[in-house]
Amino acid sequence: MLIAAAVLLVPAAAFIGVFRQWRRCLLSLGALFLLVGIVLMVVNPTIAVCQMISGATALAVMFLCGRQIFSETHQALVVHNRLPAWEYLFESIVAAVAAVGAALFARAHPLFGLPGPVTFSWVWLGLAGLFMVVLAGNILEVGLGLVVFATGLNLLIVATSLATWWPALLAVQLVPIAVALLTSVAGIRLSHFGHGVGLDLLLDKAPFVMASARPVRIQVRSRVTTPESLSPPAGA
Amino acid sequence: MPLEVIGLWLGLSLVLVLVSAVPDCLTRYRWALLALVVVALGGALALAWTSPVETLARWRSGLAFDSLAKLLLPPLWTGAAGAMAVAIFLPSGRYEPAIAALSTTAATAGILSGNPLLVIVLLLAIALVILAGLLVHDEGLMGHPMLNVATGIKYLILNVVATACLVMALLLSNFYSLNPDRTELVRIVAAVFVVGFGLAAGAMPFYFHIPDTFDATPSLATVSLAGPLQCLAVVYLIRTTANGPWLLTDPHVSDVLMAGAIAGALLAGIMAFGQRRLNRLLAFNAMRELGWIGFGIASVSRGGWRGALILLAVRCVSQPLLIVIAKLVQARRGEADLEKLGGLAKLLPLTTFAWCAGVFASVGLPPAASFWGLGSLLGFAWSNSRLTAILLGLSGVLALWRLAQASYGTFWRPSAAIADVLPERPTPSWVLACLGLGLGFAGVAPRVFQAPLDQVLAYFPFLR
Repeated sequence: MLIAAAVLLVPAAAFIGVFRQWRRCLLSLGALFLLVGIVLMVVNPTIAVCQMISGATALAVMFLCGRQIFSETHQALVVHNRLPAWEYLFESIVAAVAAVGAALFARAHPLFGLPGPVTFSWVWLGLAGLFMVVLAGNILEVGLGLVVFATGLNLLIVATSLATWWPALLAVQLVPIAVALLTSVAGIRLSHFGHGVGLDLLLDKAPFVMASARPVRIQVRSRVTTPESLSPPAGA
Repeated sequence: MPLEVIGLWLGLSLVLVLVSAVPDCLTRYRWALLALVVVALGGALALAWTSPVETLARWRSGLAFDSLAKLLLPPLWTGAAGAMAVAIFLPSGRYEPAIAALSTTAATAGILSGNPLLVIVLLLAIALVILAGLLVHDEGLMGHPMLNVATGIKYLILNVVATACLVMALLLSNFYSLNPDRTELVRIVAAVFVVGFGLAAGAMPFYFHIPDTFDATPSLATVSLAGPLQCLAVVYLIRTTANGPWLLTDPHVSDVLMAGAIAGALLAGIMAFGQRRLNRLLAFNAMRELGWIGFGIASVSRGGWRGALILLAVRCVSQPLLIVIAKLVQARRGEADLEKLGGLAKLLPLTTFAWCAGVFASVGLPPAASFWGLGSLLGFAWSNSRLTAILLGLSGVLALWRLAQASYGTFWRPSAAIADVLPERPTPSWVLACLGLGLGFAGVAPRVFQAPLDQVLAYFPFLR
């Protein structure tokens, strides 16, 4: 059960980064929360339930935000503005390399005496979240990446912390909700100003702020404005 | 006692949040709210000064009111309450007092907590409250919504990374305490901890988000960053070191951290000369102070820790004072650019006095209490290496020069006619002046710090 859940976390997290339609991204995120809950059941059933409730709340917040933004901006229901096929390939390869890296790390350095699947799960989620943030093209992608990263961190904390730390463990469960809420507010504010949610617009308007953020440098991509580019690709 | 104090601040926070939710309520009931802030501060101070002090909190315990909390909480509360009292009377964002109260509550709980994970979570919580202020409020001089969103995203990402680093450092140090043969972990833990602390507190060279945040956030969110958040971050550093002295007893780790901290302070002092906005100048000034404190703690010496603790306590008041006055003078001139400020000393005499007191406290000039802290740091640095002492002194001279330039430019330089020539409002001005007087009084009577400092330092036998 534990191994199956850990293995299924690979497609669940990878799809969040690769899918173009925001609803499918959120479905994958829901699956991810469920699988992390299953992994946590082995460690601490009470916290696992809390995590699932918190995940469902974060998911609801992000769903409402996505619906609001995409109904206002009249864009096609795509999270990403980049659609060339090679980018799918690039992201899939990045995900595969990260998954293999996480598996090798879990095998070589079973830190904190945790079972292999648990070590693999937190390392994989952490790497996947970081990649999503680094490759993000808009605020929703940043939010999704941060939530995935926070979920991996949460898994590690719950698996290794002492039972006497329970108030902090419960407080940690609120982090995904807070992150989802704040990125949603940022996204909605940006879309209210009629600028969509792309980070490249922030680079135009606040260049010295974004350009000095070297550790979290966000790539600027050329915007494709042809009608074909706005329609979701088949199979995504 | 800890629960009562936290409850007191939490109650004030809830009242302020509720009041903020209703338009015009803050303006209508400002005298009642001021009374509430004074009652909360008075009650908390009375509890702190009359409660018995427990032994220094060890990790894994619950809440504890120890000597470190007794030393730092009164100035933290005073600075935050002063800023709240002033903000209630200023035409600023209505959420600002609530942001300051929430962050003070979280910092109080963190300083009283013996649970390391809870402290990390509370650090993140304060950062998220500041971020919420950044996203909700866009009425400031720098209130371009794009700038706020861009700064907010950067701040959020860096804080999540900081939390991850602090958690990893905590778990690895626990792992090391169970497996002391893994000696390679000491430097790894120190490196991860320093990155996490630097990002969370905004110390050099992990300062990427601090100047933009100072520029874009409403003034009391900036107060929350420079006051409660940075104070809690340093307290976490001190408690972590107290619980695991092995972290700094490696001489290589200690030397590298001291060099990094002093270089950071010097760099912040130099970079302050390139700033053209008052808020950004104050951001680099706050980073320079943090460099001094980091230097003192990394020295693992009694003199260094004494200096760092005094500076930390003093900056809990001086930083809110400087930030609030900066907001006040910028609002009066309608400009944030240093070149366009000026001629305010005659209009705002009490505010000018309070600003000067804040500047004296920030750079460690007598009669401010920080003079004794800087003296202690310089004493240690001179005995350790003369070059270190010279660099430390140089960073102080640079800071003094730049702040004197900015003070002259803001208050005394002749400038174009000011549109708003009304005299300063008595209540906020007297609050600021009293805070300034308090900074001077604590310096004239250094015994105020002496007894609690000796109590704190007694718990650290590993100090040289």
